[in-house]
Amino acid sequence: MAKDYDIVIVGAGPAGLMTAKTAGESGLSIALLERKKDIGKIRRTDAGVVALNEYLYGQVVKFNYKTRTLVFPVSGFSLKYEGPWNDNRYGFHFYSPGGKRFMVGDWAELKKDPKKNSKGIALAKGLLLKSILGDAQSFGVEYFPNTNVLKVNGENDRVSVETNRGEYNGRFVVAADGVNSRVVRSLGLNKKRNFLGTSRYLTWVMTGVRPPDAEGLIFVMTMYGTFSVSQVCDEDHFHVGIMSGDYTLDLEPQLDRFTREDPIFSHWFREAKRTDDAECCVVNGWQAMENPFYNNVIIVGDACWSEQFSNPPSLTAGYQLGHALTRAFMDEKFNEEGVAQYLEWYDSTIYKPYGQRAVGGGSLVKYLTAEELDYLAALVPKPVPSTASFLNVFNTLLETY
Amino acid sequence: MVRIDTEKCLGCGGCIDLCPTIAISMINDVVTIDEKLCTECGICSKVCPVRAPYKED
Repeated sequence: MAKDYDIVIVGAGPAGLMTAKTAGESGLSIALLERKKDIGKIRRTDAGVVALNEYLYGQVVKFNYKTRTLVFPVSGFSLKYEGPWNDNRYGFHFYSPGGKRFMVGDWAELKKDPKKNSKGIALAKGLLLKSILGDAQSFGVEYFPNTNVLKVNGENDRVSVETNRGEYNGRFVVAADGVNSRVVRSLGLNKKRNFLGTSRYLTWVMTGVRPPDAEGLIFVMTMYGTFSVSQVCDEDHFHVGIMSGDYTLDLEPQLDRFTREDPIFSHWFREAKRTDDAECCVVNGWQAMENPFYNNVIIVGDACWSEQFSNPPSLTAGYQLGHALTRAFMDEKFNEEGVAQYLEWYDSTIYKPYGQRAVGGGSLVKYLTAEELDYLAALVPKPVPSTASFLNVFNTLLETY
Repeated sequence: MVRIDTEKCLGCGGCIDLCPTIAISMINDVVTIDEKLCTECGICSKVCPVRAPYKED
């Protein structure tokens, strides 16, 4: 027997949880469906980082160290965070195959005053998610873990969600099921979007990694793969990962080669040890959705744009959608007009300024030799300001070559 | 039939997302293939970052 709710939300990640919490606070009846049993254990590669400046879509975040609160002044909300953190982050370093370095952010200078200069904060994402879930449940949100969504049947003003554990009906359904959204695909909404390619990521969690500087995100371009090295929130723990757009490539041997045999970079890992933890993910990259609304299904977070890839924009989008849904019920407008507040926010904040740019899948090694990359990286020997946008740096390089 | 090597699988769920016949689910945090729905198309092993899916006769 199907149960009726005001809203059915698919996916308890940052976007879905914030939608649930925000709309739940205003008293709407909400079912939150999640396929995992334990959302506290992150099993998918994720930066686990909240950027504290304007890197991503203008969603500035301030961390209050005393009260352990993440404050989002652009949209005007805040979240408690009680877990470990590491704010030792001042930008990005890109290494060429020959070990030349292009630096975004003067890490040596900035780390003299971390609380003032930190550009990002590494968090235990699972703890943050569980804390938001706790808030949502205290507002009466009904949470259904271990629930796999099979199909969404969108009709006007009543949508049903079929799962392996029964059917859930809502006036609205929120698709917050991530970058490869099954809901979006099952509704045929990818047909109008450009496909940017499939990328795979494999990340080892290691200790004892010793790059020359470790106070930010390090990218290493080699001719056999693109790697990343970054410190996470646990003491002396690093994520060491490979990303690849070539599905014929086995990732594990390449990561092994990079950390053990690479003539330039393997010395960073001389004392390094793998922990039992590893993460991976697959991303089918699609162009941003022009209108994230279809037959009372609203798409939020990575589900509507694979490049929305970070926690602050997804949390913010969920917050905006939660309030828009509250308005829809107050105005008794169970249609596209009812949630116009969210659709207008998405259009003006995400889609218009950023969404039409194709970022995904670009790899400079496709176009340049190792020597050319070395030459390019060495062109700017001093760090450029860390306020330089990560996306802009990548886009400029890709557009130039 | 296609099976998941649970020793290799890290549980990212990419295969669940991309399976064209919705044959894969996460049951108690374990990625599980429904034999009745699987057409052995091979997409899951193609996209898996750790090559956990394998064919068994």
